[in-house]
Amino acid sequence: METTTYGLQAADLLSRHISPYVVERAEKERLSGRLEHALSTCEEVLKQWPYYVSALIVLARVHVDREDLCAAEEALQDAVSHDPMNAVALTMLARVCLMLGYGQDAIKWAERALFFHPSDADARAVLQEAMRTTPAAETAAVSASPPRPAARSAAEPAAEIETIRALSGVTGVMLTDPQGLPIDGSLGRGDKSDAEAAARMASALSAWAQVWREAGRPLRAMVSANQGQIVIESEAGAVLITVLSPRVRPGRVLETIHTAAQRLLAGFQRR
Amino acid sequence: MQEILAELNKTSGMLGSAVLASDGLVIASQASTELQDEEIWQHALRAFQAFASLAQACGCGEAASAALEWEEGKLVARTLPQGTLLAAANSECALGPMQMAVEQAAAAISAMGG
Repeated sequence: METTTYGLQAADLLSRHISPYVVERAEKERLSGRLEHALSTCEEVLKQWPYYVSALIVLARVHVDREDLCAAEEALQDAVSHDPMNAVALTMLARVCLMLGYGQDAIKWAERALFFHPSDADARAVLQEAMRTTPAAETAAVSASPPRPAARSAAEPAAEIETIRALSGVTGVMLTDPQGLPIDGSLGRGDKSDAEAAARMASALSAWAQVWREAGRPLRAMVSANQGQIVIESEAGAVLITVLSPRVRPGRVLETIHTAAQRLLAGFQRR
Repeated sequence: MQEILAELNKTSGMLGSAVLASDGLVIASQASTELQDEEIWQHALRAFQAFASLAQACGCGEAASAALEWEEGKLVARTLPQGTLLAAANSECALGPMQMAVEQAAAAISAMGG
């Protein structure tokens, strides 16, 4: 069954006795102008399944129709935090930001949509409109696609990242911001893979924040998989992802990674 | 399964453990009062699934387990044929023994079959 990683599968919905057509019903209610019905249908689904991205998108459309753009933006931010490569959510978020007058944000989201979906005509149209209507001084501050801002302090992260990269068994190191933009380093599989990993990292942190209903807590994580292992060191301002080969015994390198990461991330906290 | 979880919870510092199906359905749980809310386990499962997705995006393949540490505690997740075993502990619990205890519990639950 085709599904996004964070989108809910139809089987999941059926197992919980929620028809997968309930969002379709909400959309029909919206299109027929029954906005309050559509709103309560979406809210009912999201109460049980806060990660249901399709419901969040329809909810955002309902908010737009009700001219509540801030609520629409909030729903879409939620949607992209759960499914960071969702073309519909990214493009719509860009459009809503544009309607709110947040030109720079509109450009950022449209660029991200185009990065993952280069032939998306809607995203391209929003980007062109945002570029046309946003003052040059603002657009100059926006990074070019792919979204990879320069390191905030070029020398410092580079040195710590190189320390980690030099460790035996390390196959990639990348520093990202908590919102999912790569800052420095690379996982060694190309810019697009780095951007996807950074977006997934943001999504994982967002899911983690749901556990304790608080974002930005420092976190250390180690994930073991059949073809490798990842070590995550997260502070409020930045996240370090280190990929290890499956053969390495992490105990030997974990402390070195942790020490280097603490120096690096403390620097980002101070900024 | 409840007995296996109860045994796992005897590990020093352990606050509770649960087995969840991939859709978040709680199959079994044994937990202190603060972890009796099913929603916490479902959020923890979703977080593990998100980190597993990150592992895939990093080219590491299918995630088998994850250990998360923060100031106040620890969470270990381990995939099972039946779903995912989650165990939460306070900060006094040492991660190594906790992971070993989770591995033992996972082996016992896996041996029970689907």
